[in-house]
Amino acid sequence: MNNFDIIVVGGGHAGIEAAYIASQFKLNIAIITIPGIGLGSAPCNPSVGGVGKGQVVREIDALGGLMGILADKAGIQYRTLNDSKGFAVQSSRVQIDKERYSLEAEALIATIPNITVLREKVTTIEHVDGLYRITGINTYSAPKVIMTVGTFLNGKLHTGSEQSYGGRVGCEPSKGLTDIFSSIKTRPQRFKTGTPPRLAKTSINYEKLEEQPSDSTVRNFHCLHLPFERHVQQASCYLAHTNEETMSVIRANKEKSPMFNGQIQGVGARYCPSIEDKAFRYPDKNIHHVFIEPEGLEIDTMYPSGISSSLPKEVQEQYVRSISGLENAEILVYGYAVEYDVIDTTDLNLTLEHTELSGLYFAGQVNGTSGYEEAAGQGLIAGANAALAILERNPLILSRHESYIGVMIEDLTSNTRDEPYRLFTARSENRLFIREDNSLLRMRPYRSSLGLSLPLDQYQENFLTQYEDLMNFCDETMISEKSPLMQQFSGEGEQRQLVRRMSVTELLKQAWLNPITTLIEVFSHFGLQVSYDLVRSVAISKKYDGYIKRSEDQFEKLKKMDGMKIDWQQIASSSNVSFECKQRIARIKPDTFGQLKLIEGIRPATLAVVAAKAL
Amino acid sequence: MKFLYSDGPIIACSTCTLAHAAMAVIRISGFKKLSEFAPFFKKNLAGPIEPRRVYYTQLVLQGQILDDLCFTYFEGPHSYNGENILELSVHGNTLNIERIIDLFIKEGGCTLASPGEFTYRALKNKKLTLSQVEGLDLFLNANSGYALDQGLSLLSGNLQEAYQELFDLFLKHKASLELAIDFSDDVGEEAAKKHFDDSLTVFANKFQALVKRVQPMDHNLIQPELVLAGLPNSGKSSLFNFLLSEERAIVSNIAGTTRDYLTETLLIEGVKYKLIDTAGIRESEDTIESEGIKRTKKKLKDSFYSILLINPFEIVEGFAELMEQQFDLMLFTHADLPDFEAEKAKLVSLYPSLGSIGAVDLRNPSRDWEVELLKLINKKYLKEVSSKPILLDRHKHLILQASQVLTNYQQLSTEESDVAILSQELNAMGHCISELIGIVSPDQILNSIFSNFCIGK
Repeated sequence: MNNFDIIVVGGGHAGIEAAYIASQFKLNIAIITIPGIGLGSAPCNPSVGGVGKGQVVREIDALGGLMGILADKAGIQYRTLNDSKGFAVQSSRVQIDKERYSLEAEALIATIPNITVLREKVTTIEHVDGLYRITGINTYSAPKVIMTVGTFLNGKLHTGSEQSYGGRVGCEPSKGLTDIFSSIKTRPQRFKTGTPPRLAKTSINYEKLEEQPSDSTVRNFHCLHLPFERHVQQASCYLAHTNEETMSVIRANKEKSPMFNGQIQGVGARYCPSIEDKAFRYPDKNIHHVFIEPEGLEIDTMYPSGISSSLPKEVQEQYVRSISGLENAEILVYGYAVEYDVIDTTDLNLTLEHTELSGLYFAGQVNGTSGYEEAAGQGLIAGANAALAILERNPLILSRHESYIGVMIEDLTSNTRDEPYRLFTARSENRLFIREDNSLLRMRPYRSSLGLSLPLDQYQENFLTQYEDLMNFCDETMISEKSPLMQQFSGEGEQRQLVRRMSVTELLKQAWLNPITTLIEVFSHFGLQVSYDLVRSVAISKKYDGYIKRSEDQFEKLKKMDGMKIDWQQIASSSNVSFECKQRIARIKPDTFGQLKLIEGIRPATLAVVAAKAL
Repeated sequence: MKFLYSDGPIIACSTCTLAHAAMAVIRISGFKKLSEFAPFFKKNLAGPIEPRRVYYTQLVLQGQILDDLCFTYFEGPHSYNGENILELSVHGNTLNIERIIDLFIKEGGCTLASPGEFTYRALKNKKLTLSQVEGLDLFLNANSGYALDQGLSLLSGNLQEAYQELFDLFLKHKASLELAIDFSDDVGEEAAKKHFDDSLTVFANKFQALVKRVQPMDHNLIQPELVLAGLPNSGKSSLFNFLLSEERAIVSNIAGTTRDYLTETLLIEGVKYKLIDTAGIRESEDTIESEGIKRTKKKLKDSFYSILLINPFEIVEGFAELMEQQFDLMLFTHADLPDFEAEKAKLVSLYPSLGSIGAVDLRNPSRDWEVELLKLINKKYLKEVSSKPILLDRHKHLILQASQVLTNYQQLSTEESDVAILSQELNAMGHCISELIGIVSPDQILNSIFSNFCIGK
């Protein structure tokens, strides 16, 4: 059978998410992927989650996605980032066993009868009579196609002066795809990404490095998994540092670096710099963190995060060995940079469907994003929307004020980027609300709108009911100041004395109390058996209540201003606006003040000039 | 402000129309083509008219010459407010001016400009920023060389630059906070903390310099008030008239003649003061008078410079209360009467703080003491402007508001470990600075600014 409802081109993190969510609607799905690479493989850093990204993984999980399940199953080291900086910006990160991750993905997809995996290299895509016809070895057709081709669009690899074509080491690029899509606008500026050299596990002197063991208190990503269960044996990461010698080796080889000698034209992300970038951009800084991360329990390489490079092989060897602990390190795979084409995402709408080619969706790195989590989030949105479109149902569009996925998709579709897009918490205006602990609560209305009733949905409904009951319990339950429970919460110093009767809600807001442990005490005092996830959600929600209300007020004010219509042509021709700003404005063509503000590099002076007309 | 939404051609006389003058300038703005006005001019306007060049011609109505004039055409966007502007230099008789304006309104489709409408259009067309408009307002209404300078400096964007520099430093600090959240793994905790502390210090220092320039003053330096106060019959109105050298206040020796306060403009070495004669401060059955007294106390509080006049012969019970107020200077009057020194000494023994104050005889034909008095007043003014105060109320208010936010934030940054909460507090600071630059401009700001303008600006 060669006819499907949806064909997903690409079996990476975006592709499998798209197929998995679409399959839940009982549609007939195919994944076409390059032979020889497993589904959900991780060619770059061996981790899932991180600041902002951990929130995305939990959002994906609550929406019925795959990434949380796989990350838990393959998780070998857990860590909470920003542990001491408040709940809103805390994020989980899991080092994954890459091999295991891909095997789990293969196994899970294999259990789904309405997903067919086709291992063929796509050569042509045509649009005939409302159907897309995709040819590899055979020809397949579907009304909806989701393109998740990663870095394979005209991919070109660089290691020193050696160049080859491909989306990653050992794979040919999907060169034909660009020809097929001549009618689709790609960005004139190619993007670039890089990886570090991989080091032999046994060649590292771990004694000299700082060990970072797995944290057993980090909750698993998937909500149906037991919170702290570990599915595989745990391993450690190690911290090393570059030094003066490391950086001088790199600085001395500037002309050999494809990034600095003009061989690479693509733009890399400023916030994911190669070691060359660090050397030349911060000439005074010689000490940089290098995290040595295991790529898998059975894999014999370690991934030195923070020293990605496209320098020639002998230079890579020289600088790696200058690092304390890596003196005898053996490089098994050299670092390289990949240059690739990305599409112009302003041509996509919020469902990630192309505005001119209906039925064609784009997700993942081809959209100019970096990161497995970003790719997976887009895959889920594209997959769900392709399915909903076939079923003629309302689309799934996440608000930027409720999710990082929503932030990302609005950013991508409203704005052309100069560099690969990565999520940060700073990209959200509503950071206090978009947290890991309330992902399920934030995503439930969206998940519910899909009209599915799987075990996940029952779990979520049940969770929500209990959550609301417990929130009410906190508001209504008063504790006397004379109660021993209360006395135990009084802190040191006069201001930390609890001298009056107060509700549990009020108690949780006391600055010196950890709301989670406090609530656990309270519940046990009242003999309530409550799951860890519920306690956490309730406690942190109460803690942030007032702050979130204030933030919403601020936001309302901003929204009023942001909604103001502007005439970009007039601004772009104004003599009071700098040349650089004019260029950016003319390219983005913003309709509202809010969109204008989002344009990167817009000067406050320009905003002031425009705002003066705000009426 | 209905004009915020109108965009048709407007007309007004941009020079003074209160008295006859040799010439006057009438400005028309916002017409589409110069040839619209061709019927009113002897010169052929459909022919080539070079912008920014002066042409001599006659204004005509149905063959009849109305006036001889020169005109200059400024073609948008290269004009004061970005629109097409026609400037007519006409003879300055007020009837002539009215007749010409009438002609353009009745026959030329123009409407009479509202106050500030020309400038508003400049703002709308981005020829001026909000701050520049405020500067223009200050400049046009300046009472002193200092206000004139600050108006000009705002107009040329100097203060705006200082604000933008502040905004950049704010962004740097904000970035340090985001760095600590999103990239602490890359930069390390210690480096992130140092970044945070350093950028906050730099920002706070820069900001404090600005705060110094808006130190709260009870009085207004744009229109400094000089207030004369004293018990009834202490000679306030006499001094008032003396300073103005005219009989402005009603002078009599019946206590309580001046019920409300009188104001006049007094020029001292290039600074315009508002001279105020208050009602005598005294408890009274008379409601009008007690209202006057209430206002006097308020006037004293807001005044830039206050002078207490004392007649040692008529000290009534209200004097003690009066002495509770703050004064810049006290003057003894009625020094020409016999027993003055004795009466004064009696008073000084009761109120020792009066001991060092000199006596003034307003009937003394020598005006030496007046020169001395004016010098004292102006000395205070010069001292206050030497710290380069920011005169605009809106800016003062925002800077003080931001200063409060900064203090809270600095306090919080030492106590609160939740960085997301800290960041949200910092947003409030960003909001204040944005408003200062003019990124946020609610209608009230525009209203309050433009309400100060006159027609023709």
